[in-house]
Parts: sequence; C-alpha cells; structure tokens
Amino acid sequence: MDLLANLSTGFGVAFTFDNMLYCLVGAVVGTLIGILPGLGPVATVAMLLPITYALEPTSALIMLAGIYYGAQYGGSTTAILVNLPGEASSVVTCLDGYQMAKKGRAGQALTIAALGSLFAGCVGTLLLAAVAPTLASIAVGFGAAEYFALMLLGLVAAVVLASGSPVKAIAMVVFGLVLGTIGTDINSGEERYTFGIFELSEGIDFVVVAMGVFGITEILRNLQKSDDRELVTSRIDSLMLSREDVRRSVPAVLRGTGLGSILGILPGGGALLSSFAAYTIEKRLSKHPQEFGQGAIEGVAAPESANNAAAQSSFVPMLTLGIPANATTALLMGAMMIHNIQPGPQVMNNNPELFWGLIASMWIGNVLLVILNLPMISVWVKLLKVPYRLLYPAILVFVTVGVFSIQNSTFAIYLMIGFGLLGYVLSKLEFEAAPLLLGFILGPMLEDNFRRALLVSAGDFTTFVTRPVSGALLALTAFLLFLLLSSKFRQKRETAFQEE
Amino acid sequence: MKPMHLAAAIAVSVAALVTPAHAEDWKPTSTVNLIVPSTPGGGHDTNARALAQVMEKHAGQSIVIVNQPAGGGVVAYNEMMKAKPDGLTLGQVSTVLVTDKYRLENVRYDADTFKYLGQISEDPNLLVVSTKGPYANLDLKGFLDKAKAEPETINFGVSGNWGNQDYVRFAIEQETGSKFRRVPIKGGRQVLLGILSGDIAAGLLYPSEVKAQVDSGELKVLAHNGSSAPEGFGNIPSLKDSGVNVGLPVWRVLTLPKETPAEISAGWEKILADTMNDPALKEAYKAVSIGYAYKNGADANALVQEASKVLGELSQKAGLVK
Repeated sequence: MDLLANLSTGFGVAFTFDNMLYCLVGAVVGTLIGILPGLGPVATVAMLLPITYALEPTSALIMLAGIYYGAQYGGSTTAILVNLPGEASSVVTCLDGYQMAKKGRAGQALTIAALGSLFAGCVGTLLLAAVAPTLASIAVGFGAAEYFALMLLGLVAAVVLASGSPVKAIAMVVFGLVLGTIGTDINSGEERYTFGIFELSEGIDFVVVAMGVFGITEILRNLQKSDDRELVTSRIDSLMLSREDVRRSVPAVLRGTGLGSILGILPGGGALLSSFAAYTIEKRLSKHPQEFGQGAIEGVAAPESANNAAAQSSFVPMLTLGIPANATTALLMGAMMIHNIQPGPQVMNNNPELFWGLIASMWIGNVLLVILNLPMISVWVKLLKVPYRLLYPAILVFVTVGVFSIQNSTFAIYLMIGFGLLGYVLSKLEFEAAPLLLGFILGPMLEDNFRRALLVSAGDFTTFVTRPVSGALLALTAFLLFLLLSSKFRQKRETAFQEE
Repeated sequence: MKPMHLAAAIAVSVAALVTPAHAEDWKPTSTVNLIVPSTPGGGHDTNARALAQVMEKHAGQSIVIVNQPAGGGVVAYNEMMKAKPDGLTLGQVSTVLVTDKYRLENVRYDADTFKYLGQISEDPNLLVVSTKGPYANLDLKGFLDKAKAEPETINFGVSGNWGNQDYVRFAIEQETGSKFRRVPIKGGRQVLLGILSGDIAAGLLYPSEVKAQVDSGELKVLAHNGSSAPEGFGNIPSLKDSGVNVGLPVWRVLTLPKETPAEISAGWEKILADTMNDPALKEAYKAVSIGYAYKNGADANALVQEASKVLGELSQKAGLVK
C-alpha cells in the first residue's frame, strides 16, 4: 500500500520534536485567534508569514495550517459562550450553541463542537491523503489551457458560492483582477499602472493586500463596535453528553463531515459556506425543526463538523494544482513560494516529506486541539475578558513590522494602510473582501495562462475547447454561470444564507 | 634623566615616527552589510548567505544580509550606489547589472558604476527538452537544425522578459540561424512545469531546478553554457564544445561604491580572495548548489566589461535599445 508507506513517512516527519512543537504552536495560536472575535485566520497567517522565513518549510506549513484549522475549534467557543462568531465560519454555531449555553448546556455544546470537529478533521484529512496523489498525477499533464479553464471555473464558483449579492461579488473579483495587472507585463516587458514607482514594477505583494483588507480593516471595524462581551456563563458544569445527545448528534456529524469535505474542495467554498449549508440541511431533515434556534444539538454538531472538514479538504486544490481554494490557502501557497517550493503537482514528488508531513500533522493537530479546547476550556474563557483596546495596538504593531519585513520597504506599509481604509469603506458598503483577494491572486495566473495557451498554439482560440479537459472545465463554468442567472437557483441560494 | 638616556629616547621616538605603522591590511571594524537584490530564499540570497558564513571568519566581523527585492533589484542597486564609501556596505550584483537599462525604466547604473572586488560564483543554464516530447531523440545539432528548418514552431520557455535566459536563447539563434517561438514565463519553476506538461518543448533552466527531473529521466540535457559542466549531471557538453559559440552564464560579483578609498577596496579584495580559497566555501556552495567560480577584482572588472559589450550588442540586434 502506497498510501500507508507515504503516511508512515509523514508521521516520521510530523513526530519529530520540532514539528510537534510547531504543530502545537499553530494549534494554540489558532485556538487563541479563533476565540478572540475580530482576528481571523487570514489576518493571522498573513501576519506570521514573514516569520516563517527562518523556519524549515515543512515546519512553517505545519504551523500555519494549524492556525487555520485551529481557528475552527476556537471560533465555536466564543460562538457558544458569547453569541459572537469568534471566527467567520462559526456564525451559524451561534444560533443553537448560544441557546444551549443559556439553558445551562454550554458544556455539552462545547463537547459536541470539539468532537464533531475532531471526527470531521480526521475524515477530511484522510480524503486529502487519498485524493491528492491521483489528482496530482492527472494535473502533471495540465497545460496552460487547462490551468486557464480551472482558474476561470474557480473565480466563477467563488462568485456563485459567495454569501451576499452576486453582483457585488463579481465587482470585487473584477477589482481584484484589475489590481493584479499592476506590474511588469511578462510578454512585452512593459510596465502597467506603475506610474514610475519602482516598488510597483513587480506588482503588489498579496500579503500587503491581505493584511490591509483583513488585518487593518478588521481592527477599524472592531474599534467601532462597543467593547462589551457578555459571557452567558463562566461556569461550565459538565462536558458529558447524554445518550440522547449522542443519538441525535451522530447523523448530523456524519452529514456535516460529508458536505464539508466536498464543498471544501471547491474554489471559493471552504469553511463558511459549508457550515451554512450543513445547518440548512440538518434543519430540513430534522423531525423536530421547531427546536432549531432554541438549542438543538444538531445545530451545533453539523456546522462545526462541516467547517472543519472543509478546512482540511480545501488543501486539496492548493497542494495538487497550485490553485488556492480560498484566501487562507492562498496565503499558505505564498508560504511555500517563500521557501522556493512551487505549489502544484510536483510538490508530492519533489517534497514528499513536506506533503505527507503536513498531512500527518493535521491528525496530530486535531487531537491536540481537542485536548486544548475541552479540558482547558476555563483558561480560554478568561481570555475572552481581555478588552479589545489592549489587544489591537499589539496587532497593529505586529502587522506593520510584518509587512515591512517582506521587502524591507516602507512603501509596503503605506500601501497596506491604504488597502485597510479601502477595505473598511468596502465593508461598510457590504462588499466582501474574500473575492477581491481571490481575484487578485488568480488574476495574474489567469492572464499568464491565457496568453501562454494562445502563444504556444500560435494564436488559435479553439485550443481552449478542443483540448478535452479544458473544454469540459469551461462547459462546467458556463453551467455555473447559467445557474447564477436562473431565478430559481437564486432564491435557493438566498435562503441558504438567510439563517444569519 | 641622563643626557644619554634622553638621546636614546629621542632616537626611539624618531624611529617610531619614520617607520611605517604595521604593514597590516585594512579590515572592517564593525558589522558589515551585504545588500542582496532578492528575497530570502532566492538564488542571490542563497549565494550571499553561503558566502557570508565563510567570509565572516576572514573579515573578523559579522556580515548582515540585507534583502532588497523591491523593484526587481533596481532598489537594491540604487542603495549600493548611495552607500557610504567606508567599506561597511558591500553589494552583490549579477549579469542584469549591465542589461537592466535595456529592460527597465529609470535605470542609472551600468558596468562602470561600481568597484569590483571579485567574482564569487557562476551559475550555468542547462538547455533541456522533455523525453516524452517530439525532440527527445535529437542531439543539440539535430534540435537546432530543426529550429532552423521550421522557424518559430518550437516553443521555447524562458524565465522572465529579457532575463539572462532570453539573451542566451537569442545568442543561440544569432549564432546558428535557428529561430524558436519565444515563450516568456514568470519563474524557472513554471517553465519546468510547462515543459513537463508538453506545452513547451524546450527551455533554459538552472541545474538545481531540473536535477530531480533529469535524474528521473523526464528531461534530457542537450548542453550547458558554463565554463565547466555543473556537478552531478555527468558528462554533458557545453554549447561551445558542440560548436555553438555562446557562453553567457550568470555570474555574481561583489562590489563597493566607486569612490571607496583604494586602501579599503584592497583590504576587501584580500578578504574575498582568502574566503574563495577556503575549502569551507566550496563545501558551503556545494550544499546549496551554487556554482563555484572566482576571479580577482581586476579580472572581475574585465568580466563585467566584456559582458556589457556582448550583451549590449545582442540588445542592439534584438531591438531593445531605445
């Protein structure tokens, strides 16, 4: 069995002292930022990216990935105890989790969230280990035309699956694409939109954009809110689930895991969408839908399983195709590039210790997270009492130092502040930042591959449809666009996101 | 004090005045900065770190690598120019020093901008084709003949727009009358993926970029353009061995600002010579796949001037000179 041999290599890497330590650091930091509202995994990974210069690439990825899925655990704690999403994908958990806490069942809500996440995380990781090698071996044969079609599909899917108005999502993707054209055009060598500024000749670094629209913008938004976090209870009586709880949760966890694993692979999907979808499905299938919103345990079990499964499976497109599924995996891709590893189908062959080490670390990380989040819950609850005014100056300093260190350039700091202000204005107008970042990252790749496909086929446009893989992907893209335009689908899409 | 003693004392002090102070070479007295035009982990940076690790010993001071990747290296070169000529700021430059002016706007440096302390490395390119592609059975001559008989049909990947590899490709075309379909791609690793997927037939890549694929038999090396074959690739011929008079490997040279006093630059030349002759350096280079090559200050200057001439002529022919 190849898979077993590979996994044993992976566990060999993941079980070294250093990597265990970085896995733990990632899990702790992830839990921490998950618990603290207003600091998500995107901003945190962006901030920590420059620090990973000094680490081994495998250790760096293990730590950053730990932050990403760790945040899924931490986020649920805040959702249940304070009725605030500690992290975006825990929005749905607030609905029933908080109600459970009000009824004195906070312990049970926390337990099912953690155990559901553990199960989902393990399954999601298994899926990654099983699917990735096959997908990578197919992807080696992908040329520029196929990559173009894949990325177009990704961008369209991101729009279709985004919550909120599709027109606004399209606007943000396009805005991202436009920002991505800044810099030197590879084919002609001409500079585009650089206005003679040296610092722009290589384009804008995506970390600058990410820290601006996720880091700075979040700080601004939080400063505007009043800083009162009411804990429903600081006493958690029992973490034990009753037999009835188990009976009702098991199918919900299973369905949430399945849904999350599939949706996570889709570009633009990931944790947020899958938690919404899982909650909606549970409510529809339930024999007692009237209990949802009043503290139904399925309403915690399903979305929490779904978001963690999706967090793991969203590594599939990044590790096999070199295409990020969402903003966080885009940043992890950046971390690989910092270490001179080109994300894509070659990673598995060229850096097997990194690939399998990362996968093995995810299992270890998930187990660590359950230990961190259940027995030590009272420690984390105390953190919720730290007022934001003490927190944000530290974040601000950290973000600024981080962005400076990428290019040793103060220009990047100004640029980041600019993006922060822009992100704030956009969020006031209810534009989402995630499609912008996805457009910005995929845009230059999309253009490069489009032009290269034409160049190598001597300008023949039919190359996109006559190559079978590229043709099929484009057909799928067209189908998704058609769905978006059909009114029936639009209604369904709206109800899916209505729970908030 | 007795008169005799006084006389002796005077004699001693006079002697002290007229004998030159210890004929010791200049050495830096505090931390040295080495400006590198790439991000941590890039080729330049890897070279600089391997060098600095050994050079610290000979300089007697710690050497800090200052990464300045902004503006594709332009910012780094400008900082090297503006640095105080006190011997505490070194620069590391490469072939693009003499070609940036053809490629970018507002470039104010060329071959005469710096004082050269010596060459520190040479990285050759390998001309590779896919073993699954239509040119797998051709040797260099057959491949170039094909590109001559059917001009602009063979997709040829180069990293970046008029980077070093573009010049090598152009020089090969000029030399042999062949003509490829030029496909500029961002970064060598993307070029590699293009060749493996079959989009691109051939390309020029650094040895470290293609080692794994050459070893596994996915790629075939037709020739290299260095002064000696890179280690670990067996007995591959150079372009010149095969009758194609093209060199142009990437070199890296250490610099000081032009107005640095001769005493200081001579001191650094000595430190660099000692470093490059230290067996520990070759070990350090080997560990990170940097090609060893050393020339002293004067020879390095000749190297830069020659490259400036050859690449200038190629730029003229390619229509890059505005």
